[in-house]
Amino acid sequence: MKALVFDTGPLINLALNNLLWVVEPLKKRFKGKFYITPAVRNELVEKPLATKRYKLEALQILKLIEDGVFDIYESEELKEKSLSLLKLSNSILKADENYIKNVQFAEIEAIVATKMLNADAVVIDEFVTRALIENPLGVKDRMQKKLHKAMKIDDNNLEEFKKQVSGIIVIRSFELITIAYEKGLFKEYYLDLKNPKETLLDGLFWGIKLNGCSVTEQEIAEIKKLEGF
Amino acid sequence: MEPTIKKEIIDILKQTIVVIEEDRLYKLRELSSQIIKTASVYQDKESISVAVTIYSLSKIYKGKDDVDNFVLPHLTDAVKALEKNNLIRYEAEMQHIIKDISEKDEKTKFYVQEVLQRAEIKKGSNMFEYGISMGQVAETLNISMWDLMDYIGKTRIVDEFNYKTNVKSKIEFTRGLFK
Repeated sequence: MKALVFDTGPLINLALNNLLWVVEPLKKRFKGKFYITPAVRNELVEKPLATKRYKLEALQILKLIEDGVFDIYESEELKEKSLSLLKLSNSILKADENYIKNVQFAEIEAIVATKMLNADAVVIDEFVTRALIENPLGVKDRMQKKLHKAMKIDDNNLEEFKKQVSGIIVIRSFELITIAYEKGLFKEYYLDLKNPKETLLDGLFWGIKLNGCSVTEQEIAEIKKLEGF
Repeated sequence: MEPTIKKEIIDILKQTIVVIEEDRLYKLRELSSQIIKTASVYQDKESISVAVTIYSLSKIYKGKDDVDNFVLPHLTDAVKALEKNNLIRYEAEMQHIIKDISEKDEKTKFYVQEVLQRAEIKKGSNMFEYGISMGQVAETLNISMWDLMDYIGKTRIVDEFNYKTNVKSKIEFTRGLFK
């Protein structure tokens, strides 16, 4: 069975852009399952429901869960494996002989679920978690440069971490929205403008970037070029 | 408290006292940025609280005349308490700075609350910039991931990461999933 696992960020992003409606038609075209984990659900639903500001967005996400658009992947094994990988992930980089906690439980739980479900990809908008999977040395260099501190890598832990996350592919809401555009899901927004499609793509890409998806201006330009603009 | 953190906090608070006395309030933001680097490494509540407090002061006080009389005594007593390892007294002094400012009147109270909230998000975005994930930042500072994403998206942090993603291959892969 095809599957995608979502971290917290992409759904916050879609909610902040009023784009949650696109998830269901995307899932239909995906012909598989969309999952979130219990910790991600907590960030997306329980926490904002306890506040005033994002209550409405939380309700919209809860509706997607109740309608079965998202399944919750939950098991004792997931929790145990996530705690173990969290410990490992936060024991890779060191400064002043102190391990740096780079990532948090919900982010790691999404990664572990991806592995356990043998999912096709994990959707993560957040930059540091993605970079830790794709290029952990890049995170080290970045921290060293920004903190003006010598950073050390625990080689054994890094190797074990790489082994545990090997084969995991990370995509972002940016890629999902591009596909939704290509599939014509935004057709009704081809409005009476000079460059309707380009304007729409600009609106979509900048909307998700400005709400926290880790996509650069250069990447937006690259994809616009690929789409013929 | 870790000796390194203690030393750093004492140093930052002493510098804070000097810049306030010398009416160089523009330096407060710099001091706050300095201590948030320590906070990114240790993720301890003490250095985070100092960073947020000093950043808030930089927003509340625009000139020497704005500075409340109780601020310098609180800062001085906080330093003394920390030097004597009296953490309870130290925390009380630090908490009193913002509390006393917000209790001046009802209008100030709401303004200070707003400043504090913004200061936490701003300092959170600094930690993210230094390489701590959004989820971890939100948890450490006890702030909303929703607010954090909203704030960070409007900054240039991600563009400045200088991290090359093969965006074309990511799109091709994603296309393959939706065929």
